[in-house]
Amino acid sequence: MADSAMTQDTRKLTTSTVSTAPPMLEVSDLTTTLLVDGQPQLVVRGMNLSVGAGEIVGLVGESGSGKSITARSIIGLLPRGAEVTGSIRVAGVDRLTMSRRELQRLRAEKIAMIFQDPRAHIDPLWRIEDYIGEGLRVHLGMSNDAARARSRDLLTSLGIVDADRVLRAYPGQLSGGMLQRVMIAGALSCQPDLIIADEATTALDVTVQTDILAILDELRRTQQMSLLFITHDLALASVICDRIVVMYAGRAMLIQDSAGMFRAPAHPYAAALVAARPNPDRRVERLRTVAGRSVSALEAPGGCPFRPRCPYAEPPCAETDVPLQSVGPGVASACIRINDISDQLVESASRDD
Amino acid sequence: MTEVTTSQPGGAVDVDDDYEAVRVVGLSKTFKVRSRSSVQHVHAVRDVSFRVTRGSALGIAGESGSGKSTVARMMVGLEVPSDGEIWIGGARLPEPPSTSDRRTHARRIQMVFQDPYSSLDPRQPISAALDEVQRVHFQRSPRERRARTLQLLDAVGLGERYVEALPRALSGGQRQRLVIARSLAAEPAVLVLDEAVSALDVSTQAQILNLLRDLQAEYGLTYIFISHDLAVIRQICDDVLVLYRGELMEHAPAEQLLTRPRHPYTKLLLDSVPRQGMELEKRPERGTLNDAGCLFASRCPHAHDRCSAEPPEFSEPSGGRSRCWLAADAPSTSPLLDHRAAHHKGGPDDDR
Repeated sequence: MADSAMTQDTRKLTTSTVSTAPPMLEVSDLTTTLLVDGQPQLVVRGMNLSVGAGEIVGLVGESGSGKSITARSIIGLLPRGAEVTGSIRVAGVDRLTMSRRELQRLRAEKIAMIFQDPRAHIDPLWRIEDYIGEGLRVHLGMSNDAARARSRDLLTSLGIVDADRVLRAYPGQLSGGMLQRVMIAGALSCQPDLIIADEATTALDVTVQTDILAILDELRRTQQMSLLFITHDLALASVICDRIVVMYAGRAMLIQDSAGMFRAPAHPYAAALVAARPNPDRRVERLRTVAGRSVSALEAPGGCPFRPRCPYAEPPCAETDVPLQSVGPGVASACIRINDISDQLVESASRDD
Repeated sequence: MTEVTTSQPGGAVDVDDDYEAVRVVGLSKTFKVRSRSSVQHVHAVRDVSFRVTRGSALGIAGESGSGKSTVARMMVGLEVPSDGEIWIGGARLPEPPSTSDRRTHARRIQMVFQDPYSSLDPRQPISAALDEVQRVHFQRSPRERRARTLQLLDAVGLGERYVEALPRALSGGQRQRLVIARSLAAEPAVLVLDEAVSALDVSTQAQILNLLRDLQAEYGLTYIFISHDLAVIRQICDDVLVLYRGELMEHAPAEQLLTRPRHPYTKLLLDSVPRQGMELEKRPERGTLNDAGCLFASRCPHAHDRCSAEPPEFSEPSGGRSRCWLAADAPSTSPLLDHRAAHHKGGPDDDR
């Protein structure tokens, strides 16, 4: 059947091409509903993505796209009343059927998460050495001295010069940039296989941001660590990611390699994001904008959710939900018009204005 | 639409300096930091001077702790300078300012912050927010104020249907439009925008940047545009000033500063702008901070002995000034001169 052939194809696409072992992370048809004022609200709708061993995958979307809730669904950190369906497999094991204990183990040993706001995630009454060392002592059974030495090494590798002073400090005594490095050190402490970084460098200075990207990139190369890198900034994602998943209204609109997305974006929404980003090398007469604002899964209209803002939309776009479809090697797009408009998208991406 | 006037408020405009919207001379701010045993003086801003031509836009760039927000807060009177002078539209801000000084000052210069939601009263409808500013600054009838409110909303691209809405009914971009409208309600000549588009989605950010350009062209506004994002600064600003740890490092026309930076710190900032295809290299760790010579010396790949011993002076080769011994000693052979060439070829820094 044509239908099942397409699903097969899509699955292959969303799966890593790097290794034959099961991917580090595989999410398929994920749907997440949150309870807002007692009403179930659809936030993620039929989301697909995968991250192979040693691969860095970007998850890019604007506010309300559902990227953070996707991350929290993966790691099991959702508010009470949330409902998750579909499948999330970590190293081949089904995450959704895990017991509470198994989930704790998974978070301790396999997955770590870095958030945007370290102050909200680090206990202000703990010294930094207690925060970073906790996992080392509890999960790896290290002595206090060994944990402290390892914590110091981690901080030094993250570019902190006076690691000893930082280890003795309380969170309130450190700057935001410093505290973010501390959270990253904590995430790295137990050498997880997969790190989920949710806007982890957004609040940092650009110089520090580049340093942190370099560190994450090195960890991937030297330790085969996998990374799901969540950001609103497509250019930032392109610096470090092998592939980028562009999310809109709770679903994946496009999966494409980073370079390809800038040269020949295979979805109008991605093309719009590429075009709207100001260029540091050139002042343009008028920045290209996307009409309207981004919508959440709940607000999205039927059919293609980007349709009301899309300059290429036509009546058929309103009729059916479009799943991701293979449109080239390693590229999957949820645009039914992509074959007709791909030349225009290439032209739009290369325009200089 | 009738014109939103940006007439010189408060008079006192020196005829000779008519072209000059802002003059800042020797501006400094020192904070006292008390620890258990001692009181330390932290120089948030040290001896910063610049002028801004009426109708132009000055970008202020730098990392956190560079003092860029402190400069902004002093300019609008939210922070009292430790030293130096601030002149807006030919009038000097007295210190300490009285309540009426503040009111007069608020008609010359207004500020837009990063987070529009926290700058708005969540229980105040949009019409009331715009009405309040007019009641403070102008003698207008309710009908005049209402008409003006509608003009302002139109000017920032918010339709009449939002007049009675509360801030939470607006999206992030719409809220920032409202905050801009409110700051324009005082009819200032100068607008200080502190990371005003940083929290917005990319597509919304582009809309607001276009709006800021339109408003500037229409009303001859002067912008002080503070941002960590050089790509955004490039789109708005005529000149750029780069601060590091409270001191001015480089000040030049935007085109020059962003393509041929003279100061190594400017180059570092430029090289850190995320771009598709950029090389990630682990940079050497930051050394210990040095206060004797150049403040940037401990992070500078070009630093030599003199840099950590003696504070560099400004050199002013064609257009712009840079505080760097490298630029002062050999302005024409500076390895930083062509930023773009350096960027694409891997750069002269690689052989250090």
